Amino acid sequence: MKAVARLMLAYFTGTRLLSIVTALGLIAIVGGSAVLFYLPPLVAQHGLPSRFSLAEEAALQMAPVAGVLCFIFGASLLPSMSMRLVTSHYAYVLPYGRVKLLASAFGTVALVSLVASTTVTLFFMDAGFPFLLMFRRGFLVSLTSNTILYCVLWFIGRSSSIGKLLGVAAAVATLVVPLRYQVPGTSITPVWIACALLWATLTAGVLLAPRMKLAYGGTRHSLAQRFGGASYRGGGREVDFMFGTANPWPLALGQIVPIAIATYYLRDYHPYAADAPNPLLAVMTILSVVSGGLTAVAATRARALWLRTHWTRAELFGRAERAFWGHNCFVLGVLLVALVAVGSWLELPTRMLVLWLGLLMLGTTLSTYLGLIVTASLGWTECVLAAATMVALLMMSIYTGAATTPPATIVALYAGLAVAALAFRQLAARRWARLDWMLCRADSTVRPAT
Amino acid sequence: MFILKPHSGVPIYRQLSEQIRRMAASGQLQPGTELPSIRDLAMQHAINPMTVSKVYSLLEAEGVLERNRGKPMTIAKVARAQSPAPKRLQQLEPHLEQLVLAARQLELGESDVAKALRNTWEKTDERSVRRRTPAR
Amino acid sequence: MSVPYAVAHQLGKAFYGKRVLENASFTVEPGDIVGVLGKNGAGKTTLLELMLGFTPPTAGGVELFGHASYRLPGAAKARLGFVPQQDELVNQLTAADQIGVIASFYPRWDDALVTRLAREWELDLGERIKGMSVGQRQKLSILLALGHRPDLLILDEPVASLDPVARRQFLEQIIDVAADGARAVVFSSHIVSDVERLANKIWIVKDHRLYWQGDFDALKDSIVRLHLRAPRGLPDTIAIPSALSVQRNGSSATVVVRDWSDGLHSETAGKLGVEIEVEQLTLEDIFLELHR
Repeated sequence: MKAVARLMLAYFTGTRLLSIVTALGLIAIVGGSAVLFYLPPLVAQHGLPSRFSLAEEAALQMAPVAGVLCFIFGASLLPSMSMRLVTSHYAYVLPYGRVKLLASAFGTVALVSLVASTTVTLFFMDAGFPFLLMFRRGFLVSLTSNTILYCVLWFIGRSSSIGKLLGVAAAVATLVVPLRYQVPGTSITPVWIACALLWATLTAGVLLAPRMKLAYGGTRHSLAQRFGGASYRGGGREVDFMFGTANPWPLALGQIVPIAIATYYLRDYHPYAADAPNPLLAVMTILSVVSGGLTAVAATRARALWLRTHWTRAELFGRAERAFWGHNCFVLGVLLVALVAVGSWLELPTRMLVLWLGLLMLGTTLSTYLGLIVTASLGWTECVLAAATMVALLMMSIYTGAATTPPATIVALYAGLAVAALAFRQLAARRWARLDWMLCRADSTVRPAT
Repeated sequence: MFILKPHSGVPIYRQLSEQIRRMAASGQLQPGTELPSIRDLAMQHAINPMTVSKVYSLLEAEGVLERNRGKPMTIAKVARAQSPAPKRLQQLEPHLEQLVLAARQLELGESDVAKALRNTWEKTDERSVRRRTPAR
Repeated sequence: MSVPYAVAHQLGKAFYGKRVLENASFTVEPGDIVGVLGKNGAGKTTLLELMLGFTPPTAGGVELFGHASYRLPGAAKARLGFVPQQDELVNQLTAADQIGVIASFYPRWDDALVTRLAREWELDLGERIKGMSVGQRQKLSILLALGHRPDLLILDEPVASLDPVARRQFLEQIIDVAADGARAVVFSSHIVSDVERLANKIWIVKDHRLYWQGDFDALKDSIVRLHLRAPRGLPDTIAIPSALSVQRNGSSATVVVRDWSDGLHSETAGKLGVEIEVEQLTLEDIFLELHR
């Protein structure tokens, strides 16, 4: 038992960042829920007067939800750490190792779901639904979706850029889709089945892993012999190969999948208010940023180039910039085409489309240079800049999505963002001129550029 | 206290047992002197404790060492008196073999070697024995 | 007679049709320090993994503490410690957290020992594993296997990345483990000098078989180098059974033999009409001669 508890503690507080996120989450949940309960009723939405404005109410109501999200992500060490231990020799050597690891995983997901469903149920209490019924439902739905979410997080951690992209989309989906089942009236049998299946598979996987490895090891071995190994496709130049920018098509075309899914789910979405945010644009903005995130490995990979060629660090920066832009153009291009296609299909106004095009271009530009700024391990500067950029972009997408914003304001804001992008570029150039490869060591998690 | 060379061809147990025997016989280790515990000696020289244990047991059986309950092994009190000359001569065997081999390689005759031995014997006396062998 | 901690009879393992180990039989008694030597790919790691029950044998069997190693019950695992060749630490944690997590699995954990060793080995327990050098990670892996004071400690190339100071500290710790005679250590290493100091039993894995399994002193007496001298000329053929190599040099020759015993001395000298001087070899020389 103490092993299970200790593991769970490690999942929540293993790294400094995660402990902070967990703590913030708990504070937001407790604080937000208390506020909801003990302050005068927030009834403005029903047309009655209240002490708070609409926006303040929205913020207050969001606090516990944000807290729940923080708490969920605060345990994001769970997938990578538990899988690392399960696939290591420790799973064989530690007494009851597998069982305890599995129990710790289930315990964590159950705890997170408990907290999430309690918080969400409190919301619905106002609407007059019975607590226990809502809670049972909520817990089951939460359990299933959190299990899927952690599996997706594990997948994101292990995959290349394209996998990360699909993973992010899947993560967003797992957070949003289950809300449908929260409301009583829809049958939750599929959720029961999904949950049971998921945990049966996970349990079997963990406990029977040695036997399965034996049984299927042979097949995997021969498959690996035949299809494994890196392939140098595209016939690009060595620079592209070293940076990993040789083949943009998997990533570029892979974007279509989340866009298609999002469009399908949101095709009937009509915002109540004229200035409500458009989630489709938010999805696309996120996508435009992902390809930039790929750039963050540039500095680490540049070391091999520096050893092989006569380029100075400043010249390396220019080459990296060119290589990644050469790659990101294609990704961005596909994104823009998809936007136009979706926009025409949904019959969005042209003005909106044009403005969105601008926003996506800005998104990729900003994130590319942001990635190039990362020349050592992620420190406070980089995190703050990244967070600020994301927030700015998402706010811009809200602004742009609303029909009532004057175009002049939007263009002015775009200009501001463009200036920020140039500033990022200068900062990146300066950092590359003093690049210190002892600080940006290739981690074992950074895969070789193939 | 002892000089052990784990990487010479000679097994460690033999090096250690011979040294203890010699030092006990020559009086360098007085009867009643405490030897280091098995663990301490093994740690000091970074050798297997079982080897040390084997040597101690062997020498205890021979009467060179004495085991005291709860206390470290000591040199037996009557070690010198009990060990007869032929037995002590046995300990010289390896040295004699080395001497004979070296002499033969240099193509020296037996009488030359005997004469040199007598000279060396007269030159060294009891005191220089103590000075020469490393004491700790 | 004490109960052996590990017993194997005719252990064998085949992977995808390739035979990786065959016909290995051995015992590990309390108080033993076993050194496992072998060229890369000879089957050392497979041998250790079979002992630990990571993979079931395809022939024969191996038992730990009286249980089949492949089905070792949880309580028996608390008496076992293992250090893998490549560390399997969780990168994101600090060393202290990693120790805490592993310690929580065991009923007894010696905190004082771990703290003392971390101090002696200069391991900063507050440091993130991600930022540690390879040597420090290896030291941490070793610490994790010592904390619960296992009766049987198995290490696969534990000192490959350690500097000489760290290696000596490690050796001293192994001696400490085995000194009371109630615990056993099995370790494989390429650093033959370390094995020479410590081991009382040697296992030599050669060509996927246990070429030698037994007492180290017996090994040293068995595989020796003979220096033959014949002032009247050597015979044309030097036929010594179980000779591993022969080198002639005018009127003298050097022969490395195995399965030597003192009794053969006069018999061989007489048969060939030569004088024989027996030289005992270091463990490294023995290993090299076997693989000539």
